[in-house]
Amino acid sequence: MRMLWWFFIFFLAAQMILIQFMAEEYLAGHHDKLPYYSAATGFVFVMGVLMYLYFRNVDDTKD
Amino acid sequence: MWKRIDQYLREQALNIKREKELDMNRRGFIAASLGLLGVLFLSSFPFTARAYRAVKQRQTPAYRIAGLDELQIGDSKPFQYPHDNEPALLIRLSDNQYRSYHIKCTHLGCPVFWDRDSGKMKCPCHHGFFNVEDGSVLAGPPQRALPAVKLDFRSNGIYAVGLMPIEGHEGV
Ligand code: FES
Repeated sequence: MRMLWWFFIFFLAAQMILIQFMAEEYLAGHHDKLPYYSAATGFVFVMGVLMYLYFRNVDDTKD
Repeated sequence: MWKRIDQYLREQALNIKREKELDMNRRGFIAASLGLLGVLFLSSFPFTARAYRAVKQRQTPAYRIAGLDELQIGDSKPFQYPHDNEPALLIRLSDNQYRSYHIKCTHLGCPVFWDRDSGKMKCPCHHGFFNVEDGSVLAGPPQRALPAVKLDFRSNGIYAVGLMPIEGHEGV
């Protein structure tokens, strides 16, 4: 779980940067780029879920 | 009185509460941040939805310029798109190569025409020349390229369906 903790710190950072970029693009009126950012945040989220499941499995087998 | 303040400060500074600590153990933190990732993801939806609406609104209706075989190779046909005061030109370069641009010169707004013999687009006012392939400036005083019109070939003719985004001006 220790490892996973670091992964999640990384994911959180990435997600926040993405959201920030997205807000900037939105304010700049580059509407055509927003779906890509949305997809990217979704990707990070899915990766987070997968990581969580994986490490939980690892943990359970360790116990 | 002082006792209570002291106790309060102690509580704030030495924030060691057994239950809280258990709450925020590693697994808890990870679950919480997983939730946060999801919330951030969901919060990006309204942005996207609004963006799509804005893009839709900006889309101009299709306009039929000419029939499929109306123009001979090397011919051009003027039309107005997307509004009445925006003259544009459709040019047939070869069998299946068409180009279309707004013909308001980017210098001082004279109408640009297609000069078949030289294969360039010409502005008569101050001798500006534009490349017919992409609307870029070849010579003369104009600084910016001619805006291109997006074409769509349908069974009953050639349609103008929008404007190409100009480099550095997307979405404006
Ligand atoms: S207006 Fe076209 S070159 Fe000056």
